[in-house]
Amino acid sequence: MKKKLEIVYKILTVAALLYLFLVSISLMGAAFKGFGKGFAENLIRTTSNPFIGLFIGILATSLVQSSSTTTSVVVGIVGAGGLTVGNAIPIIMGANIGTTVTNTLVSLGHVSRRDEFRRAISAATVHDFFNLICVSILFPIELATGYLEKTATYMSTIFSGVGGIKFVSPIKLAVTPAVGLIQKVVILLSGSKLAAYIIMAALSLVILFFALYFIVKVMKSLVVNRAEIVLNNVISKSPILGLFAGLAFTIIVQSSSITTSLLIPLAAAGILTVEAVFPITIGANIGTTTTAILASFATGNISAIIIAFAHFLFNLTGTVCIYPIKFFRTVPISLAKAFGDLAATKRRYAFIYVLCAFFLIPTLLIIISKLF
Amino acid sequence: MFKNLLSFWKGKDFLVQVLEDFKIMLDDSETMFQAVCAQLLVGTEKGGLKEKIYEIDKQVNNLQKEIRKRIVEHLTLQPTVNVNACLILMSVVKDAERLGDYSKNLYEVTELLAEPIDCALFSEYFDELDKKILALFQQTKKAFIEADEDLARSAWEYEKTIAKGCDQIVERLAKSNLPVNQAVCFTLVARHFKRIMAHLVNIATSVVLPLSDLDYFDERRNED
Repeated sequence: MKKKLEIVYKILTVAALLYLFLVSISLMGAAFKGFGKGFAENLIRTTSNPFIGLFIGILATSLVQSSSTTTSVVVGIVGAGGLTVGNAIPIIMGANIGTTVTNTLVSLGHVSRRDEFRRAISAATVHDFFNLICVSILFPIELATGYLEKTATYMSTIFSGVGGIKFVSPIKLAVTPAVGLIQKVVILLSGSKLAAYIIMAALSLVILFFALYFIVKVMKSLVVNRAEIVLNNVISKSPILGLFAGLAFTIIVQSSSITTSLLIPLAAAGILTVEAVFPITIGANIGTTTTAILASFATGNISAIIIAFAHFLFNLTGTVCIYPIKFFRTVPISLAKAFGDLAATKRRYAFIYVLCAFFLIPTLLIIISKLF
Repeated sequence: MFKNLLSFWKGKDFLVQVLEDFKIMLDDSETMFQAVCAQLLVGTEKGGLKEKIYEIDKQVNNLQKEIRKRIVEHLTLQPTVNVNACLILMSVVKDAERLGDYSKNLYEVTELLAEPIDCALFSEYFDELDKKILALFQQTKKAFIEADEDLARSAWEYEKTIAKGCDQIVERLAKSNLPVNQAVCFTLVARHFKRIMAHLVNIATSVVLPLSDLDYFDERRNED
């Protein structure tokens, strides 16, 4: 009885946190709209270089260690008109690379035991290499053809209806009263409108972090027992089931970092091979896109839905292009294993890699791109 | 496919599954021990016993690996849940695996015998010690699986009385005029019996001893 009550309590908590999350996205949209046209134009100009967008995505996600946060913020800004879909797509791609830093950092915890570390860092970087390969292939294709934007726009017509009917999101309707109330209170307390919008933007970020952090925590505690059973059944049995397990667990806990990071100690202990980790990881890659889709419904804006779908399509096409073909599939695995061997021999390379790939290079390239 | 997916969703909780596997390990070791002792007493080779013993031992080893794997999985996903149980299990699976190994070693002793065993002589020296060990197997299994502290203490006490018998057998053998082959084989049997009892008591006492004192039940007994 006590256990059942606990479950009901946790489900209600998640529902409340989810509502807070959606409110934060909507509030962010309201704040960015409040900043005015000039601010939006400036932001759009800054991200008009797709390479800058890509590196912003990598750096921002590496810093907050959550692609769900970055993509939700991007969706919120796109929904408010602060970013165009075309400018946001490279940021979303960058977020995909940046999110891989978390499990790589987890693998560094095994650095004191050479063989364990080799297995751990190989399992962690298979995610990095897969996402880097996806971006290397799909980023130029998107720049040349705009296939992600076009396909996502086509998909979003389901939500915009036909014959020019405007999309009315029920989630938007549900969060509007709360956002309106917060907006009124902040404007009343802050005195000036600009200060109010700055406070609203900051507040929305705080609520977003808080809500996502606790959604992940509570959902994990809710499903962890079942996840343990599923993981044990899936391990080394069927890669496709591994992919679905990664997808499902990530949709539930709303964090690919949690899914991929949990695999690292298992790989380090030799229970999971890199080959077994790989499908679970790419399942998590697809699963994490649901957060942005959910966030996009809170904006009630079709462009936000387009960018959320673009994120989903990017991960889906990456998986479809690479995973089914054995030759392509072995590339990230072989690269991860080779890097694992190198990092285990000279462990400083692992630290240099994390520092350079996720922080120094993106920062330097942003600066260089801005200068020239 | 759907049925297949469902089978991956279904399964037992960590502790239930691991305890079930551990009980199988103990059952298997007991079966091995019983079969080898039966051969020692009858003195004739039973068809296929060797293959059977080696096969069961392999199964015991695989269960040990499976339990360890489950423990790592569990602690990775839920690092704060059942930590003590996990550490105890990590320790006692080693004991259960050793039970299988010593039972296999006992079988190997039967292969070293130059002649069929003199059953009357064996009974004279060992005085149904094998039956006492089988009783200890039963007590240990029940005490551990049901976390029965009284039964665990009683197994601990029981082992104290019968373990002395092993040392006395070795002492008697050392002073005896038995042929070398027989004396060595009997001595090995006595030593293996003693080790089997010690591992059984390691398992039983894990129910009552603090984690740090696991495997040191004899030191605790001296202190008490």
